[in-house]
Amino acid sequence: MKKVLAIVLALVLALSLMSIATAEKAGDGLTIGIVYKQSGNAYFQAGVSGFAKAAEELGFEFMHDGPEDSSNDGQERIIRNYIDMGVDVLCISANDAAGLVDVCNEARAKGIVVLSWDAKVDAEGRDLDIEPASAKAIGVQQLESIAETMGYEGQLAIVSAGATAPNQNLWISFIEEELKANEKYAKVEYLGVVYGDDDYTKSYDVTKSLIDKYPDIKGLIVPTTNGGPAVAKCIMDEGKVGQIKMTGLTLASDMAEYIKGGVADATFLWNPIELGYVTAYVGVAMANGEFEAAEGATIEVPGFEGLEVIPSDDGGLILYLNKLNPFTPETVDAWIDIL
Amino acid sequence: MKAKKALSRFLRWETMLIVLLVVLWLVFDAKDASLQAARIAKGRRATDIFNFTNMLNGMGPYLLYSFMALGMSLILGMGDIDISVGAIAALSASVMGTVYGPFKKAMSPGLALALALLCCVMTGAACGFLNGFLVTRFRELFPMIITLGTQLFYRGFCYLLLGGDTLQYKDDAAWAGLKKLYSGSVSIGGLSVPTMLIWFLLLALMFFVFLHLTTGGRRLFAIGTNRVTARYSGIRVDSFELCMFVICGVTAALSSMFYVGSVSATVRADAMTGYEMYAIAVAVLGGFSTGGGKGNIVGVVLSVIIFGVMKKGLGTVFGLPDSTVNLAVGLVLIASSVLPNLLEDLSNWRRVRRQHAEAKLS
Repeated sequence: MKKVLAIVLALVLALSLMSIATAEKAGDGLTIGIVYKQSGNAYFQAGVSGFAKAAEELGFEFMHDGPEDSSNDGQERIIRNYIDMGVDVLCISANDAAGLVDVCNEARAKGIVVLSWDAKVDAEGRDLDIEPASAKAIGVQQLESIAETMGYEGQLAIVSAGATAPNQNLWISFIEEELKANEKYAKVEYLGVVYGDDDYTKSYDVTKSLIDKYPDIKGLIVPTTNGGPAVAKCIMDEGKVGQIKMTGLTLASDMAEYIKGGVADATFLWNPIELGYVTAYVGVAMANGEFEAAEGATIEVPGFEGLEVIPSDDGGLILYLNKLNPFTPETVDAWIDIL
Repeated sequence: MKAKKALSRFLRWETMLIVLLVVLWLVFDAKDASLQAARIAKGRRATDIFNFTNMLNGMGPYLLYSFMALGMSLILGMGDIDISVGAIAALSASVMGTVYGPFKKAMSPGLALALALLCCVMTGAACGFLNGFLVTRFRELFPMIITLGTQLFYRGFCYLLLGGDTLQYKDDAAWAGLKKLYSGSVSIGGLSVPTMLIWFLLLALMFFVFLHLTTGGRRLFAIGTNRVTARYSGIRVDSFELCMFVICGVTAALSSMFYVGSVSATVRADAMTGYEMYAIAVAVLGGFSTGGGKGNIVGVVLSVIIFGVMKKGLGTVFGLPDSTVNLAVGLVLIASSVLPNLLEDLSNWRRVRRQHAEAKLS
């Protein structure tokens, strides 16, 4: 009964569509299911807009959803629905890396490509993880930005989070390595790291004593979103705008007034739109069998260079965009509602 | 006469649930057919989204709260409520996960898991006991408020045990058995039936026998109808009620075992948040009211299926976001709790009119 009905309706629709000629696109006939951590989250809506941009170019269809309560089982439910609906690719930003492994493997057993983006699914449950930037890229990009602002000379210090914060310490180790290794930073005098413990008052105080101790300091790197506004406020309060510039990983909303006030030429964070865009390209290429997630495999995505699959720390495969998004006095306003 | 009337009322409610189920099914099936037609017209392969096999195999997520719903039925039948069952389940799972590690060092994995499962059930029972004790000891407080307090307490306890971590025993065969518990299936007449569904139906059968075929069930409904009368008829209300809360806690613990399997055998402190509301919703749609004194387990089983079909159908063939599906579920729930009252009003109005007419004739 259902089949007969389906065929009749299909014929009617086919006739009505006959006149519309369509160009072949790489993603024609593919459906991508996007699952994120939580519905109504601006960060992931921005990510989905990246998928939408790719969909215009590649012609695939997509659905997106997240549980309202950021739960594991909510994501599991959505993934199961998407499997039933016959998606070809699942792009998942997991609330819990370990918790979705089983349902993801069920999907893979049915021939669905499973990618994780922004927040990984554990290695045994995914084909590929796609993340904004490697630790090295994050460190080096902040260094290059502030060095350029400083004219590649003068005193530079770092205001970090806690002394044991693993991410920050990793980034800082790459900054320090690059400072030593790269000739162009020879005239930059590196003063070392102080710790604000991700606390507003403490970050403000350590910045103030740093400025008191080194009155000629020219640059500050703040690789933590919680420290950025405090450091910027301190620079303003001390009347050092213009002399001291900062950069770092910050949110646009926290930093807009300071960036426009001249405290920073640019601060950075990853760009969820580009992350969604690249994830979509990878998903389509994998579903078409044009690209296989294997160590050393590379993929062409418009506007990106050197996208290469490398082994990740958890024993799986990962692909970094290695492109951070700058918030400059001109662009920061556009990002306030997103990041 | 009265018994016959009561029986017919129950039958009517269950009949309505069956009608609702059939209507939902037909709507989803038709929508699916039109979707497939659209796909074929676009030159794409058709995927039958909504059918019996998919629904049967995909029942898992909608059965997780069904065990709690059985326990909740007992509580609602007595005119009480327990909104801590979600937290009880999370705590039971947290305890199970926490003790398994040390147990495993001391004994064989199989035995360690058996003991951990026992601890899980015991935790559920202990939480239920505390709820029951507080409810029966402090009659002046609403059970809703008491279990709101215990809910926060149990949930806080989970965070005390686990913090923000996810607990997982990777590559542990015994612990992975929990996954089997959730996603395993047996072949019955060519259909692969989830074992979880069989467990649920077995438990539902036990509850049916207790509630509708034994004196225990009659006592329960007597308490729900009028606690004071029940006490004067010789029912030991407090201890009976306490027992029911313990059973409710145990069903929450049973839910948690399956839940752990559903999320790749991981345990987190924030697990099963909000499940108490699903459990209450299922029990109420099944015919149990918060007023107490009525309800039928057959209705609860039907209501579990209806919730599953509705959520699955709205989420897949209608493509509604997960968060929006609850809107439709809420509407059905409101309708189901209002409808019986409306029907009763209608029959009252009819009776009055008939009496008026008879009076005129004479």
